[in-house]
Amino acid sequence: MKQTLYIKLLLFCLIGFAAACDKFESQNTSVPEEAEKVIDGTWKITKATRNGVDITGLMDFSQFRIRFNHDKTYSIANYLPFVVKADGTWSLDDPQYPFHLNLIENGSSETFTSTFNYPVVNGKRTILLSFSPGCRNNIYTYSFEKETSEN
Amino acid sequence: MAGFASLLLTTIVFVSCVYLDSVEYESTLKAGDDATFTVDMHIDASKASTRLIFSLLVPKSWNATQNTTVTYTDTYNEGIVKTMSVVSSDVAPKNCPGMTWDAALKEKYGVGPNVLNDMEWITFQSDEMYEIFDGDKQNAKISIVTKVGPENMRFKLGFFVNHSDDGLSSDEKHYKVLYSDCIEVIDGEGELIDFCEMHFNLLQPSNATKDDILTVKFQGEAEANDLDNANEIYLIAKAFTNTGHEYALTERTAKTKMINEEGKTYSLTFWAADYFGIPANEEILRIEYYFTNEDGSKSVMQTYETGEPATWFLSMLTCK
Repeated sequence: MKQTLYIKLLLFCLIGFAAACDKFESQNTSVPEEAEKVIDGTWKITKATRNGVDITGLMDFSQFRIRFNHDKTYSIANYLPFVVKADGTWSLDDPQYPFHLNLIENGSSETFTSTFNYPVVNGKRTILLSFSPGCRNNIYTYSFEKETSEN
Repeated sequence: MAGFASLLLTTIVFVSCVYLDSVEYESTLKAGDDATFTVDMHIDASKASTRLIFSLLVPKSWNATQNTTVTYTDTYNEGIVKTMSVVSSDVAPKNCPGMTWDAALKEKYGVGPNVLNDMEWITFQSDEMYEIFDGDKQNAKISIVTKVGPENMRFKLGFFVNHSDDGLSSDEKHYKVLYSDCIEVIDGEGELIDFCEMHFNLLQPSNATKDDILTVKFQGEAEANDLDNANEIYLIAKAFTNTGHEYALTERTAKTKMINEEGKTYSLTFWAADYFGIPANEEILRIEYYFTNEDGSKSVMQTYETGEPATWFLSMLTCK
């Protein structure tokens, strides 16, 4: 009697597994496509480092703004040392997996490039740009957050 | 109980200890020459597939990533000279995801005992992958040949050893760091840049242009001085450009008031071109400066042991 019960239980489990396998196979296995990175909007500096040292509290970075427009133009307000000095056009090297931000000043054909990172920090989307506006040995990294009014 | 003993044994055997035994170097180097440093190390009781990691802390102006060759010999294959290669900047230490080796070592060790920040950790890994077995005890002698930078300076080199399978974990048995005594570069360009000792004045970064953000520091701890009891410290400065013009900021206002960082250390950080009002077609060659109190009655300037009159501090603005 015990043996019969055991066989029944085993069969039940096998049917269960088979059903589970069928269910799994019927799932849509396609991987969701990575979304394009949207950086439209006005961004302000929340952190600045120079050669890895935090200098945010040593100077007033609060007034600098960069606005990325949907038509791929950008504008800068209250300039501080940055990748470029004038307004112009922007592009990412890859819309889904970008590693670099390319900027071309109006009236120029030269492309200035910054490394680009797009993490979520403390629940907020952040842009990290690294560049050398002065001596090439000095690497500055600015962390940007979108203006609150635009979130 | 037997299982516990087995687990304990496995844990003990799997702990690999890395030792940095000694470093050989010349205390005086000539600018532009090739310098050789030798590091003796050994690894004790490990089990892993791993590469040897070696990092060197050097002044940034040396461009050591481009100008350094690292080779080594080991007791695995005695007499054979093996090579190491620079670890690419997109490779993170195993236990510091998202960071470069330079950033991870900077975060952990800073610039060691040096007082200026313009240094970087250059990391190399053995081209050979090692299969290390339990109880292995192997020695290695690492030879570093690097081109000495062009500037006169004093600094302390840093040497770090680790292995890639550990990748800067929290267990310091896996890595060691050692610093040299003060090494001096002679017959080079410019004023002596001193990474070894604190002075009243400090301008960072030492390699810069007018488009850099500069920090000028007054370090009152260096020794007793006339500003020991000052409540406010101001920076009096002049920038001299390649066109022969001079741009002075000699007022004591909010713009020139220095921030008290801690104790007797004050700093002022500014974008050089904007601070001095330098036109687009001019470059700053040097900045001269001194520190004064709120009414200008007391100051700290550059003094000389020879008894010559005190002068303004001088910092050249060069980019190498």
